[in-house]
Amino acid sequence: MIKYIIKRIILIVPILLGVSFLVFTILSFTPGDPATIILGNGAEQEAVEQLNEELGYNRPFLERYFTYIGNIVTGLDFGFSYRTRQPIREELVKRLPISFKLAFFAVVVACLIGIPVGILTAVKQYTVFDTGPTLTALLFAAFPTFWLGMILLYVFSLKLGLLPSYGAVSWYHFILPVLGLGLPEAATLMRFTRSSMLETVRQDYIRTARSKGAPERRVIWRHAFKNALIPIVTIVGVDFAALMGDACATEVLYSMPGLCTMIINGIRQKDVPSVMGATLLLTALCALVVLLVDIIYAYIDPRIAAKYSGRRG
Amino acid sequence: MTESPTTPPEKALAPSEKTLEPSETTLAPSEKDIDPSENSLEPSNIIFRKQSNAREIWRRFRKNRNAMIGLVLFVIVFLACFVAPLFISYGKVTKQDIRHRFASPTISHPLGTDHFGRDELARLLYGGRTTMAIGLIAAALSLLVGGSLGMLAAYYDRLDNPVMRLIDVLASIPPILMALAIVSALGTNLQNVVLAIAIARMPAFCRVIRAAVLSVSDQEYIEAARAGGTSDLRILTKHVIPNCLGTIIVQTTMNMSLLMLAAASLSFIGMGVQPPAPEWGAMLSEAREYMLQATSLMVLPGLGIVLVTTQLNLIGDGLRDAFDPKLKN
Repeated sequence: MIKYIIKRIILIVPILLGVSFLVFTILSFTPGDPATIILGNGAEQEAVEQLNEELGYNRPFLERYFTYIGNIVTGLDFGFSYRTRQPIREELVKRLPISFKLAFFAVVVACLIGIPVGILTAVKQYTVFDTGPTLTALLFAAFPTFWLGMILLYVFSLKLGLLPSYGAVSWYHFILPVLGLGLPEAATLMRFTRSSMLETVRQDYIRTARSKGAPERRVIWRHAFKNALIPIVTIVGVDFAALMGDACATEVLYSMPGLCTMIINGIRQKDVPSVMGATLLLTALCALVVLLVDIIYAYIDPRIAAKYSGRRG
Repeated sequence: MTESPTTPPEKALAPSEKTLEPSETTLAPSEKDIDPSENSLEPSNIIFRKQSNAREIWRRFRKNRNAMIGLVLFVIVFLACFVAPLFISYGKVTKQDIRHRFASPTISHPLGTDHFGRDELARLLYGGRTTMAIGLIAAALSLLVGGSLGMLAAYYDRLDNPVMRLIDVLASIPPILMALAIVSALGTNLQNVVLAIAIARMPAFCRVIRAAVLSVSDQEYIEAARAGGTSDLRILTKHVIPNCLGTIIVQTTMNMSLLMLAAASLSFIGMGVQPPAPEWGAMLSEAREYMLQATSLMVLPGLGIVLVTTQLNLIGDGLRDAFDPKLKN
């Protein structure tokens, strides 16, 4: 077990390095040099060149990359914003909780709705309890999160005036964004749970459990659900990671000061260090979540742990 | 000869095909004329098998009610968005008429006007054309690059590890962030948006097609072709790709809806198609400020996105079941 966990943690290092290199490379194609962006177009040529020299912009590409990564690894130093001249790290620390909360609670909502309804539809296949939710889910799965968000915003904050329409000050502000982000996710999760359950219900061990007289409730929860859960956990993890990125449109819609709005503002203002820092942080978080899920997965599925425990394998 | 292992099960599935035989064989000669050198050893029965296979898939697809509803609706929306602009000039899309902003539907403006007094129907149709065209082109591009990479990785063992590690890295970046980074470096215009979302979707295509090719490439007919001295290029194009066609088509359909959503959300956050050019996501973004004055401006483009993505998903589901009836639950 521990061997497996260590192996997974070691595997994530090259991925993170690769990701950072890729993002660094893509963003290095951004037109314009930092000094011109900082000093403006009217600045004197000499001042521009001097500042570029100071910022290390004239050094070779690989050297710049390794300096950047080195600073992050050794001192969590993401550099300075071209616009505000403040350290990027402070901005990241301020914005991270908002993005994380948004994605986390959206996943919680998705699980609380998607998994139980998915099981219900699978158990009651071909009845109203199946077709109703399945059709609703088909529709919701196609909803762009930003459009659902707009509709919720229109109904609950503009028409009914119940909830705030922008900002991220209290948990109150999170209700609409979380629902807008979580409901389409719930639909996807429901469809997945349903097919996973239907697959499991057909297995021989379910027939065995039924024929030995186990009560239906026990068959569903103990025998079927526990086995169907394994692929579901993977999907939830992957979706959580994806949601942190997909939250972009939601953050923009509700003007939430999260990491995605930081990226977008950074792009608008040509503030490359902001874009880079926020993108890297979000990507690293996604990778960590996937890693965490893999570890949980090993706990749920004894077969994986067995593979790494040596003797029994 | 090499194709024979797949032929009997197809026939077993479709006893009715025997009756189609005469008409099929009459079609064969014309096909043969196109490529006489290649098929000289394998006469018309190959072509016959392919056509009847497609027919069989179409027959199964047609029986699927949901998929047919999806297909019919999709064709209607698609035609509306791609044919109607031939009759409505682009001038109508951008012509502002501030005095008649937020107008109710009239004969000259069947869906009313927007916040600049522009005709909403024309904008919706042109906008749908942009959204769908981006989805289509990006799906084709992503399939071409990602799919080829996946195929090569699966077929050549040496390439498998390097290509897939690269794809692992690509896949760890959330697609929308990847697209944002690319757009940020290259600038926001239509080509860059297509490029950005296509690259961001590549890992998905690569992985699925790699898996499909892997499952095909250890089949006996591939081995037989190789033993017979067939070149790799010919094995890939004549044996591997046709046998993965089901996966390829289903994946492309499914991913097209995701790519359309990606394009719309990029435009929505202001990093995609720029106003005044109409695009469903960009139109929604503009409508945000006028939600109370004109609710229809915010409803119609969103409805368009939901309709088209649902239809594509229905078609994709139907195609998957039609290509492989065993998967259906």
